[in-house]
Amino acid sequence: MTTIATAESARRLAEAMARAKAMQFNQPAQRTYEELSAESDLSLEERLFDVRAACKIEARKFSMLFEPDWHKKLFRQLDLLMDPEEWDSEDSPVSKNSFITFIRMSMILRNARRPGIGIANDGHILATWSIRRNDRLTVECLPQDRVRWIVSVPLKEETESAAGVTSLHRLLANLEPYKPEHWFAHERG
Amino acid sequence: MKGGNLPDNHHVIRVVPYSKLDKDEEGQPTGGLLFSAFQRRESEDGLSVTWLEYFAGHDHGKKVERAVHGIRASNYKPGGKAAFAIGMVGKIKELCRAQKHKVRIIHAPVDDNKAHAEVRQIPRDDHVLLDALATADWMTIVFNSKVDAGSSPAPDAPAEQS
Repeated sequence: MTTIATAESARRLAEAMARAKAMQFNQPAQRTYEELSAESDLSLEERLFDVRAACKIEARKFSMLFEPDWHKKLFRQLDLLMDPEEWDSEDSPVSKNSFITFIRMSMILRNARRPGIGIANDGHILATWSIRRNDRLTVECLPQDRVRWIVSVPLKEETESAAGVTSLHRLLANLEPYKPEHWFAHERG
Repeated sequence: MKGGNLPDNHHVIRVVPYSKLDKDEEGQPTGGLLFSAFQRRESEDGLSVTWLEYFAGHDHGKKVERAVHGIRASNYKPGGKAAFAIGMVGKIKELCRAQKHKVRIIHAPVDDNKAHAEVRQIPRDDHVLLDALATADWMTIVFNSKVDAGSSPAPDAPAEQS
């Protein structure tokens, strides 16, 4: 899937980026993704377009901290996630504050395998590292550098599940009993 | 039957959009679900599902196909990358009970889907329960792209139950 395929798409991206940049530099009147997405005069496609553009601008600020193609892979994941053909119109678009937490978590876990990404209520990004259906880690990125972690781990003939809410800097300490390195390893068993 | 509890040995089918499917780092579905696939919105009284045995069919696969066709004919249009999660009513209730929640799964027909049902009293904020539903080994996942093309509204009355 190409991000920009037509001149019309390029024009719309430029307009969306202009709106996003105006949002950044106009601090007292800064409009959140939620406000942009709530505008009734924008179609679902336009709202998702704007949110994708704003996420990409945010991610670009940190791209020098990651491997060279990190942002390209993330952008593709965002394009797939917020494809208007696949998006449930009843769902909230990605929340800016959740996305910022996701980016900061990605910096902490920059040596780990990249997660799959999804969405939960209130536009919260979900990051998942799966080995099997019943062996995975899900992290819901909440605002203000808070995260909810949910684990499913196989134990003999049962699956043990647990969850908790913590600050980003305490995430790995919370996960330690579950040996999170097996989810983060690049070579999966 | 409207408002009645679905039998424990019947099944319900839940539409799961691409955004709520478990995916790998390339965005490819792994065949699993995220907990958000079963997360009720604040504005919803119950989790929206479709009653599988409402549809006639000699086997499970035919019922699934007809249910998917019914969903496609409803006002909710599943995307091409969406999937359908199918679970037995009794198993869903049992898992919820294990997490100290008593749910009801009732027939709740709506104008655009006569086979519509709801999972009532499912908590919004018990993430262990929601993830357990998503990772249950008895939960079957069928991708929209794997079901034959077509859409046909659910009939006005459920199929005769044997």
